[in-house]
Amino acid sequence: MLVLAALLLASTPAEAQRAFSIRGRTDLTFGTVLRGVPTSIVAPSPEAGSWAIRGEPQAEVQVVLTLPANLFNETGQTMPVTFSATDGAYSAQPQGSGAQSFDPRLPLIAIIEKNSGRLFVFLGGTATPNATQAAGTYVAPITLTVSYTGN
Amino acid sequence: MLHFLRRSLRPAVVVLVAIAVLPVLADAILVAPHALFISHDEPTGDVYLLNQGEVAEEVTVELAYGYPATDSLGNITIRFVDELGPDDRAATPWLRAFPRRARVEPGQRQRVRVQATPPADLPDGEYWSRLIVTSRPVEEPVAVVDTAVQAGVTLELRTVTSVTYRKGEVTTGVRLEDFRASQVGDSLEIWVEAVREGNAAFLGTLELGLGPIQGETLTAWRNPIAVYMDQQRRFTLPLQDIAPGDYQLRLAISTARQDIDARFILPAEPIERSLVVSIEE
Repeated sequence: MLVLAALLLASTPAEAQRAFSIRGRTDLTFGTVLRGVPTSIVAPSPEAGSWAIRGEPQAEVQVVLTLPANLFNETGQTMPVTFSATDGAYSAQPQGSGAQSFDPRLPLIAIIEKNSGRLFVFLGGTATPNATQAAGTYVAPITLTVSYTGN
Repeated sequence: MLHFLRRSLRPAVVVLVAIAVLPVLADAILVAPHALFISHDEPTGDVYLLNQGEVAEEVTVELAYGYPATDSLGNITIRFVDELGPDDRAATPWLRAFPRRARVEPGQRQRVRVQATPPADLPDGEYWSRLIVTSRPVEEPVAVVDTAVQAGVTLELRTVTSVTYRKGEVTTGVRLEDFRASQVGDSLEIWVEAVREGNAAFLGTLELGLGPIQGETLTAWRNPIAVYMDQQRRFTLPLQDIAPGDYQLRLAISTARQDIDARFILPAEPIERSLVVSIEE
């Protein structure tokens, strides 16, 4: 992949020397849950959703997560999902060491790490199946939007 | 026994819940450059999208008018504006990006051309837009967690970059209206009010340094800034490692930028200020 990136940058004009990407790393997966029992995932953790943002070292970025209020199964039945003020986390390290928490319901302003040019974002949450929740697979989309604030 | 266990566990295996997400370890679309500059003389420019992942990505490209701005709490955000006012300098109505939709195979590069067709009587100056690239895997990924249930996921990733159009004589500058600081708990809260001058956005770097009144900086903070409209920005510097006492807080704003080609940086007078702050225990 590094070779591809190098080819891209070598074949584009001088002003195109700076790139910007987001990578999905792991799912936020609640796994199998019990009826009537809320299941929470903390961030960072192996079960948390995580993304890697690559960009200009020391650049400031705005990260916005568009979060669902419900998960849906194939027949349209819902299961509430909630996100608390500490369900987001960000770190310069891929495992999330030294992570700072943030409220994923609000925009996050963070700095891309000066040496690696990366920023890792983690997301936890709580799924709350009701006592008569129908069996099935419940899913929902999330949109992660990243913008530079410095240009 | 096994039969009993299966019967006992069956009610517990209710649902599989998965949210968000991508195929694991699949890279999304890389966008370059992160700031595109076009002009009256060169009204087209290219942005490149590279699929670094292992599955094809469906990409949509949109243009919207927005710029970095601060809210009443001094937080920076990208403000998107739907209804244009007299001070807005939107290029979006007369910019086109194409293709607007593409399928990008793994390892493939897609060029997106941005073309300006402004009105003939457009005054000199700078006009702005944001390029929004949304990507999602072409085939909905399915994660099999056990034999009983499956999870489909539909994650969208969106990168927002800037598009700047310049016509004729463009100038920029920034005027410092306010610079103050006060201790709030274990942090130093710093307010910087910057007023843009000229007819173009100010792109530069803001540096803050805290140190003894007569001595070297102990802690520093440096960040690219963009002043499109007047900003009242709040910065927070941690003070955990700073002993109580009087210190000098230094502010410097200049057009120094490492991430943007020097040809596109408009010159402006640098600003340097300092003030004394008292740090208490």
